[in-house]
Amino acid sequence: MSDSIGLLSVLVLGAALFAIGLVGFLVRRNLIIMFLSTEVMLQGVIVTVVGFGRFYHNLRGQAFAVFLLVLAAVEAAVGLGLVVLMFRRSGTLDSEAWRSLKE
Amino acid sequence: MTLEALLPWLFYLIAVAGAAAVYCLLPRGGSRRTVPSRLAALGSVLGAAALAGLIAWSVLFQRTRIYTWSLDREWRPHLAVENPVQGWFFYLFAAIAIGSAVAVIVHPRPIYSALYFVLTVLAVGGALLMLQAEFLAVALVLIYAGAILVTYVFVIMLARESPGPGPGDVGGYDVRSRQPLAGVLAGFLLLAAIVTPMCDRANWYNGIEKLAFQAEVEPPDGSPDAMGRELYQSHVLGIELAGVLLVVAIVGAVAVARKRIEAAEAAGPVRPPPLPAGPPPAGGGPQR
Repeated sequence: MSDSIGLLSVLVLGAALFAIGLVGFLVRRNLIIMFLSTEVMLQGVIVTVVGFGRFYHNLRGQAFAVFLLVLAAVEAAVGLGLVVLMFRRSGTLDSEAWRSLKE
Repeated sequence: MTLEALLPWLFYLIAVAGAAAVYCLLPRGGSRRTVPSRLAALGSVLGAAALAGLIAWSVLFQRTRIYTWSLDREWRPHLAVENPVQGWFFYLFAAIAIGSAVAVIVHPRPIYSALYFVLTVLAVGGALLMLQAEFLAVALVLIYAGAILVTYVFVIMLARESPGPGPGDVGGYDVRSRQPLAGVLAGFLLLAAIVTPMCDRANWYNGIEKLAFQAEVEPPDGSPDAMGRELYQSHVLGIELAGVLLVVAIVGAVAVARKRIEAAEAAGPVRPPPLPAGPPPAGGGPQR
C-alpha cells in the first residue's frame, strides 16, 4: 500500500512544481528565465489535471492537458517574440531595464 | 496529538526546509563564477533532505489518511493506483522533476536552465506514464523538449549581449536575484496554502460521491486511440479554437518579432549610395 501512487502525491508534485515556478518568476531578472519559470508552472498544472483525471477514471484531464500544451506553445511563441523585441529595444535581457513602465 | 493532526505541521516543516534550500541556492551578487560555495552546498543538502521528507510525507499521508466511501458503504483506500512498480517509479520521477525544476530557477546561465528544463519535462513525462497517460507523455516530450525548448535555445543564442572577456562570465542580472527572500516566501506560502486544504479530511469527503460512483468503471488507457475519441467526440469546438489560436499566435509572433528587421533591411541598401556624392555633412560634428 505504501508504495503505490496516491492522488495526494500527484497533487503535491503539481503544487511543488507550481510553487517553484512562481519563485523563479518572482526572483529571477532574466526575461527568458522568467518565461521558462512560467513553463515550469504549466508543468505543475498538467500534472495536476492528469492526476485528477486518472483518479476520476476518465480522459477529461488528459484532454485538458492537450489544450494546455497548445497554450504553452502559443505562449512561448508570442512571449519569446516579445522578449526578442524588448531585447532589441533595450539591448539587455534584464527585466529591471523596464522599470519605467511602472509610472 | 494524533498523527493526523500532526501531518500539516510536518508538511510546513518540510516546506520551510525547501524554502531555505531554494533561498540558499539562488544566485546572488559577488563572484560571477558558478563554483558551488558553502552556502550552495548547504542549500543542496537542505533541498535533498526536504525532497526526501516530502516523499516520505506523502507516502505516510497516503497510508494514514486517504480513504473513500465506496459503493458498498465502506471506507476503502480507493485513491491509490495499486501497482508497486509504478509507485516507486512515480516517486523517482517526481524527485527528479522537483530537483531539476529548482535547478532551472537557480542556475545563473540561461542555457543550462533550458537544459535542466528538458530534464524536468522528461521526468514529468515519466510521471505521466506512471499515471497511464501514455499519449500525453509522448506528446509532452515531443512538444516541450522538441519544439518549445528549441525556440528557447534559439532566443537565448539570439539575445546574447557580449558578456565579459571570459567565456564563463554571465550578465550581472543573472547572478543577482530580485528580492530573493520575498519571492521565496511568496512561493512557499502559496505551496502551504495549496496543501493545507488537502490535509483536511473533510475536504476529501466532498468528492467521494463522484469518486465512489466512478470507481466501478474501468480506468481508461491513455492510448492515442482513446485520446482521439475523447478529443473529437467531446471537445471538437475546443480543437477548432486551438487551431485558430495557434494560427493567430504564429502570425502575431512573426509580426511582433519581425518589425525591426524590416526597418533595417529597408534602410540597409539605401544608405551607401548618397554618401560619396557630396562632402560629409555631419562628419566633423561630433569631433568638435
